[in-house]
Amino acid sequence: MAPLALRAHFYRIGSHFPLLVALFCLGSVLSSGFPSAELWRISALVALGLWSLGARFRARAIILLFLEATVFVSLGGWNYQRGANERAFPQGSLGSLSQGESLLQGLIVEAPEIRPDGVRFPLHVERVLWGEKGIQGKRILVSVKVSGYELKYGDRIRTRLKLRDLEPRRNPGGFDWQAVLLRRGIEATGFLEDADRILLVGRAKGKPLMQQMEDLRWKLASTINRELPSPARGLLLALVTGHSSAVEKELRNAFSSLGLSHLLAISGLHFGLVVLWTHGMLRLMAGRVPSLYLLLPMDRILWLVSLPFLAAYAAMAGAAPSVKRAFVMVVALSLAFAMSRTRKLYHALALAAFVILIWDPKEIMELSFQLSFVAVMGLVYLLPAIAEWFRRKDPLMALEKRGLISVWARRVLLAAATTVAATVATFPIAVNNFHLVPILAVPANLLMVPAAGWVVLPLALAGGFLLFIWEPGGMEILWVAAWMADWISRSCSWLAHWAPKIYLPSLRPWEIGAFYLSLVALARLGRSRWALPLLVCSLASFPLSWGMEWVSQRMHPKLRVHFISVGNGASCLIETPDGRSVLIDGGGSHDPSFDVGSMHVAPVLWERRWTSIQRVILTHPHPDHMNGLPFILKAFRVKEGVWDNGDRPMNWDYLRFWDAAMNSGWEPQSLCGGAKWTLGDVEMEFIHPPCGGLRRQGIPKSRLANENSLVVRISLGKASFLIASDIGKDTEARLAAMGNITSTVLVVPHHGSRTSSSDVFLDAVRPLFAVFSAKAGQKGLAHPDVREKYERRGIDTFHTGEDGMVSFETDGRVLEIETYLSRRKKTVEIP
Amino acid sequence: MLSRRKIWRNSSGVLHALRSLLELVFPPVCALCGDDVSGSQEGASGDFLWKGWAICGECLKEVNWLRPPFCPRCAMPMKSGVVSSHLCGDCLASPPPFSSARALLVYGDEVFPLLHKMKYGPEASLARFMGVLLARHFLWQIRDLGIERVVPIPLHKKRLVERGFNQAALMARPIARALEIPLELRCLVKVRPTSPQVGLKRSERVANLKGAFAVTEKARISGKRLLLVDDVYTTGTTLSEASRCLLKAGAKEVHVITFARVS
Repeated sequence: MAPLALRAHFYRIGSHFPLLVALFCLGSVLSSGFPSAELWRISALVALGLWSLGARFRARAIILLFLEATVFVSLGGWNYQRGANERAFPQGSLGSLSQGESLLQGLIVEAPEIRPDGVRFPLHVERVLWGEKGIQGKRILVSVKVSGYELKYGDRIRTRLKLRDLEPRRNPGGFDWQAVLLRRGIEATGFLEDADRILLVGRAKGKPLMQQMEDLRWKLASTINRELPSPARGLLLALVTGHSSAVEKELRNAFSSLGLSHLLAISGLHFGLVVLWTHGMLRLMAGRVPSLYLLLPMDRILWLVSLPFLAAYAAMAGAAPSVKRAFVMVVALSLAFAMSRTRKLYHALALAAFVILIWDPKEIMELSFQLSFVAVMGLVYLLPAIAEWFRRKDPLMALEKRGLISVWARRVLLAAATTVAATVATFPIAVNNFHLVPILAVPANLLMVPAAGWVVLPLALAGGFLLFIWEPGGMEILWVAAWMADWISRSCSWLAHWAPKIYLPSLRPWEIGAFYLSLVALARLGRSRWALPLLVCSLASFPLSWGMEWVSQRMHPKLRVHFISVGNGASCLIETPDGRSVLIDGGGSHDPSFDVGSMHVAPVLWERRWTSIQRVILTHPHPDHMNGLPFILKAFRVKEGVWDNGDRPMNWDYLRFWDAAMNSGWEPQSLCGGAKWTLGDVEMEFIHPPCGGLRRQGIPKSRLANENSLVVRISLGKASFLIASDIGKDTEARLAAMGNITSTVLVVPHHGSRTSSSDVFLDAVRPLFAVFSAKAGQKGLAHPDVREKYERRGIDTFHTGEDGMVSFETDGRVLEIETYLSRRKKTVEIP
Repeated sequence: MLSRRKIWRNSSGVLHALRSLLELVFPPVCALCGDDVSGSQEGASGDFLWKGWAICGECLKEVNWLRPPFCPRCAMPMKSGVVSSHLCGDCLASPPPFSSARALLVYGDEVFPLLHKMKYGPEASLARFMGVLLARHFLWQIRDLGIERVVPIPLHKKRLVERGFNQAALMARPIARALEIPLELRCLVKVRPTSPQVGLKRSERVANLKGAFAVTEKARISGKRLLLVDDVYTTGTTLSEASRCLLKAGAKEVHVITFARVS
């Protein structure tokens, strides 16, 4: 009888299959925290044994359920470890690549991403002819800055390029680019200015089937990319061939601020539309022969016949996780339909997640995987609840009214409800990753989804497929699609420009939990007895959480000073004991395509839960201190003002800062030596430059801006911080002569380069700790000799490039230090 | 040596495993209440299972089966508690052209969603499931009648293409298969599209259907006992009109079977 009891139990799994897959996912997530394959395997086997024993001896249902849950959690963990132990899943960066160039030969192992002006592709290095030998047999991500569109999957190339280590995440809240690349098996990156330096050695060396598919996809993508004009081209590439990186950055930002990013990643929406279109066309054709319907089960046949079209679209769309999920889900649903199985959305969704995770366990950590599954979950769970709202009284009433207006009103309502459901469901994930609230999501989706889905997508697909048969005709259709796409991108940019932008700080895990609980409660309202109490409790937990944070802040009033890791640059966030924030400099890069403000500084502020800053200070108008500020001034409310050192050059970078400050409502005021702020118990003294700035007293012009930097001394009790910005030896001597600049912590002047840190200055400051704010490695401004000088004096040094963000916390007597990347921790009593 | 029986068992084991895997992902649901019915094999708790559809034990108890007493001619349920085979008033006044009618259950609020989902879902598999229910229930009764051909009520070809299937034909197929007699799909046709019968008065219904049906291949049914299949018996206008047409074409007898009967 044992097998029968087991079998009966096994049958019961079906009804809660989605729940079990959710547990499987939970196991995968937990497993990333406990990377021990043995542990997970043993726990899975033990739980499986106990489970079958329990089923054999008819244990209580609750015990069996618990064991079953344990089995699936452990299986999930085991599965994740299985993926983690594959060869192509390196645990860390290679470390210490030399800065020179290497000549290597390799195979392009994934279709190159098309970008607005170049390409990017993972390269499997087969041979290193000279240079970095350690890279042989590894996978690197090669970015070609200009052109390179002729490269495709399966090409064997030889090239000379600069290799770089992966950049780890150095600040809390930042985007973990290294983890993303490591999950793709990539261990280093390489850069090329121009595709001219690539020598094609062989073609079509990929896996045979994949090669066929990718060749077709490449042909279509390169035609679109070559023939069509710019903004429309990116949109068409994203919609048809899944090259979402081809969209221009501004347009992508516009889409994401309108909650339209889902259009750019091919997903269930696109597949659904393709299915509807092909199914409709097939029905139209089959309708010419009604006797077919008499003799054959056409309802099943039409679904099955539309599957190959779907597969063709999936092949064109590449292998993004959202494509895989949508494809598995639609196939599962179609097969279920063809086999007289009821179409259960939760089950199909769970099946899709399960298949994808078995295929590639690492997907669970991908943002797009999480977003796409949570969005569909939201649709499946929330849509019926919303629909219920509209026709609570009588489910049949809604069916009776069949007037044209009511039909269309219902359609518009449904579309709006869909957007609301998906936006609300992905809200916490979106906030924690993008921080921007898509206010106009509903109207933007109502306008753009039909335009993109019902007009551009079918036109572009039809044109694309026709291209293989009859090129001129296909091209004409593509031009029409491009015209429409152009219209869409224009109106999106326009809408995004006028849309109010509200940024939110990161949500804590319990807040995310409370958010989803309140969603569930809201959906169950009126149907379940405990929905209302649950809703009240979960909503009340938000103010409770904020209140707790506020109280704990007041209970332990401490001064916190964070030195944010911004590469070669500087940015410092000061949080005073009375709950105010001051930002001194915002880092910045010379490269306009990389915004340090949005990538490094803002995430730290969001992670520290700031939506507003009291004061913003710019020490001197150099890009490495200033270029990050415009984004901060745009995304955060500035409450008390913006200050600078009075040096106002006429260049683009400074105008951008000025403009952003004016838009935030504050005209920058100049500060000079002698100014003193008192923020609660904290004192901020500005000790340099002299009012009116330094004249050129023998200082070369190139150094004048640096020598004029604002120098700030922040003190609370016995603790003090000297932020010396970019001053050189001349100013150092001047400050040393002034006296009374002794400080506990010194931010090494000019990022630790040899132009500064003179002995006189160090004698005057006598710091216990020194912070170098520079890039790690040979490109960093911190000179090894300078560091050695500090260490010789017994000063403890920190380096934002190597240690990540350096945070100091003090109550005036004890100083606690913590670094983000290297996890160094120290507590000292200030003498 | 492996006996034939053993091989059969093995293969059924494989099929069984496949079926249970499918059930894992898409558990069968009750056609009436929509609950999952997995975890119980057929008959285990009184459930009735067919592929993805089922009627769960609880719904089986609640369904309003068409039980005697009812009119043997038109299956009209009767109020009186006397179990006798007398005709109802309508049939005494104006007997319908068909010889007998049977239905599985009485049309009511609990069946309406089922039929609505099947027709406007549209869920062809639900129609097949209903056909299986009919076949299992009426197999012996129909066999006793000596039926020779099964004829479903046809749809006009426009409506057929629109819906994608003829629910009556899908319901008739399992019956024909169980009885091992031919199913006549192209014999009776609807030559004229008619507006839906819902919401019409009796006289309007008759006028609506006048001359809507035609028999194309008389030779296939002449002198045969026929079984006419439809989903719902409301006033019997459709079924009467179709029966009249078949009888005129030379059918010997027409018996009617429907899924539900409006009382």
